[in-house]
Amino acid sequence: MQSKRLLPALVCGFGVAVISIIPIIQAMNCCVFTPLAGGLGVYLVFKQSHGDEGFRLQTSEAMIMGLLIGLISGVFDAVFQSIIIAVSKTNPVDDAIFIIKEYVQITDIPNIILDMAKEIEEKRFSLVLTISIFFTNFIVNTIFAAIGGLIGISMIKRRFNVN
Amino acid sequence: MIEEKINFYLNLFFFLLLGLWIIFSFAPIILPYDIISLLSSKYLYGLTCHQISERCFGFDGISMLICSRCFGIYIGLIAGIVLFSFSKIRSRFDGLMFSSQLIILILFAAPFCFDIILSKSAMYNSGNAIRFVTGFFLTIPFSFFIKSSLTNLSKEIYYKTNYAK
Repeated sequence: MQSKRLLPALVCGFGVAVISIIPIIQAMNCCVFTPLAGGLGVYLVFKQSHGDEGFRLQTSEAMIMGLLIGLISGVFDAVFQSIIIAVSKTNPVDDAIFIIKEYVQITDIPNIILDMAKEIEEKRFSLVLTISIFFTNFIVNTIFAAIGGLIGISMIKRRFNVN
Repeated sequence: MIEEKINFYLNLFFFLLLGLWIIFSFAPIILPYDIISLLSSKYLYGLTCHQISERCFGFDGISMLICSRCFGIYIGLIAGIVLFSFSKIRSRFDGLMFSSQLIILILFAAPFCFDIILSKSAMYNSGNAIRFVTGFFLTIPFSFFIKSSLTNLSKEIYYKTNYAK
């Protein structure tokens, strides 16, 4: 993996993870901030490398950047959420069960979710929840950051007349 | 394969993918008793959407799998792609300066952001129609850049298949 991609992805992925734990703003994470992070990541790679000989800004850059941002933000997000659960008294799984029962019209909650809620109540940590947070964020952020990267590449090519 | 043909197939693929994604979000309304497809699609769409039933459009008490805001975003994307398929509109937007394009993007995204911030901070409760409209306008100008990145991709494919060696 080229280190030129790693630092921008680290900055943007960390930024996405931080925003995902800020109340109110977190609601715009997948639609606004993750695509912005994808675009910014591609821009930072372009800024670093556009003077280099043989450098070509390709569409595949958006996919790679999306994947890296998804991976990094997934890891940081899982860590941040676990820390918040450990130090606070709230139980997000209990809240989710309440929302599912109240709004999503599902009455039979799977046992794995009930066990997770119990585990958090007792130990303030659940490995299954941490892993599921990682995978969910990884998949969603990868898709949206890649879309943002695609838009970013298109904008960069227009702004700097890059062919 | 010539470049225009690659571009056409790429656009068609993207359009069909998006269309299928939207059509499957109607699964509970179209196939209310197909439990397996309902559960799998519920999980799939749940990755990107909260799916709170009172914030979703529905029919006869059955809600869609995506909320009105997400529905607006996807419909806006399709509308934008159709809109920018007309060369007159595309060339007009293309002819604008980059800063003007950026201002248009921000103007179209502003209602979406304000709606989320205000409703999340409990200052007002926007209805499904407002959520749909703000989502719809968010993605229209962005679809221009998605379309042009598909064009870039088709150029790259054309170059790689014809001149890479």
